[in-house]
Amino acid sequence: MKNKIEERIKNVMSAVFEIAVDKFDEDSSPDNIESWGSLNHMKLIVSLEEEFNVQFTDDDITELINMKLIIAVLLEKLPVYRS
Amino acid sequence: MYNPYMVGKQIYLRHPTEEDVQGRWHEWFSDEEITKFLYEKFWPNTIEAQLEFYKSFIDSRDRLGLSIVAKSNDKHIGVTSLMDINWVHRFATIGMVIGEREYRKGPVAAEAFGLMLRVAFLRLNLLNVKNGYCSSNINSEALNRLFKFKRVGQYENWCSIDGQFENLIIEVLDRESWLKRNMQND
Repeated sequence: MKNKIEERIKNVMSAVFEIAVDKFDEDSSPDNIESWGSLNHMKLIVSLEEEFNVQFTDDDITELINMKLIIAVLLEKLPVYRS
Repeated sequence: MYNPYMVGKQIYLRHPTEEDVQGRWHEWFSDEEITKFLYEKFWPNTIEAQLEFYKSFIDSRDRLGLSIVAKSNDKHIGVTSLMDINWVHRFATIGMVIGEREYRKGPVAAEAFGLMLRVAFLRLNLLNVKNGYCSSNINSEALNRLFKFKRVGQYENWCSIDGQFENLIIEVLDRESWLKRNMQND
């Protein structure tokens, strides 16, 4: 399940940051992805909302600062994966 | 943190100080990139002009201007405002500038904007926040989309950007929608 989500997240990140999918891992963040600027951060959040049909809160928006956290927050939001 | 008014994860908002004026604040409003989409600031800014502006708005009852400060080092990195606050009809216009370039990455701008919306809806109890932007201003467009502003209209050929007139897009976020989105886990 987690792997499937991770794959979809990587595809979204690849499209937003214009970087190959295989360049992303759980530690990918604004510190090591040069194109992760303010504008692309906003685009990333909106693209993730569209991809997973969820809505992030203002707190979530500031929480999603690396791929590991994105996976964790999405797992919380997606009812299928929430135990 | 000094005198925090609204605290986030990486930044906080506080009342501006004369020390802020003595820093790089005035330089941001001479910067071509920053002032490109602003209605004012056509002239080069100066520390004296910044001090005059600061003095004019600290006593204002219809404008709340706050400094955006990095929590990690207490550095003044930008400013955000609620302007033209109408206390009867309970609306205002929001604005924000991240002046220090190294902070224009990741969620800093979004966090500052989100904190100011929290100020508007929870501390000032406003009902609507308006944000207008020139149609080629992709940063403002993305910010409004992120926070779910709704387009309510436009002024045609309102802004002169690089010699071309563009439409001014007007968008509004209402308190109820903001609360619904942010209280979804409560």
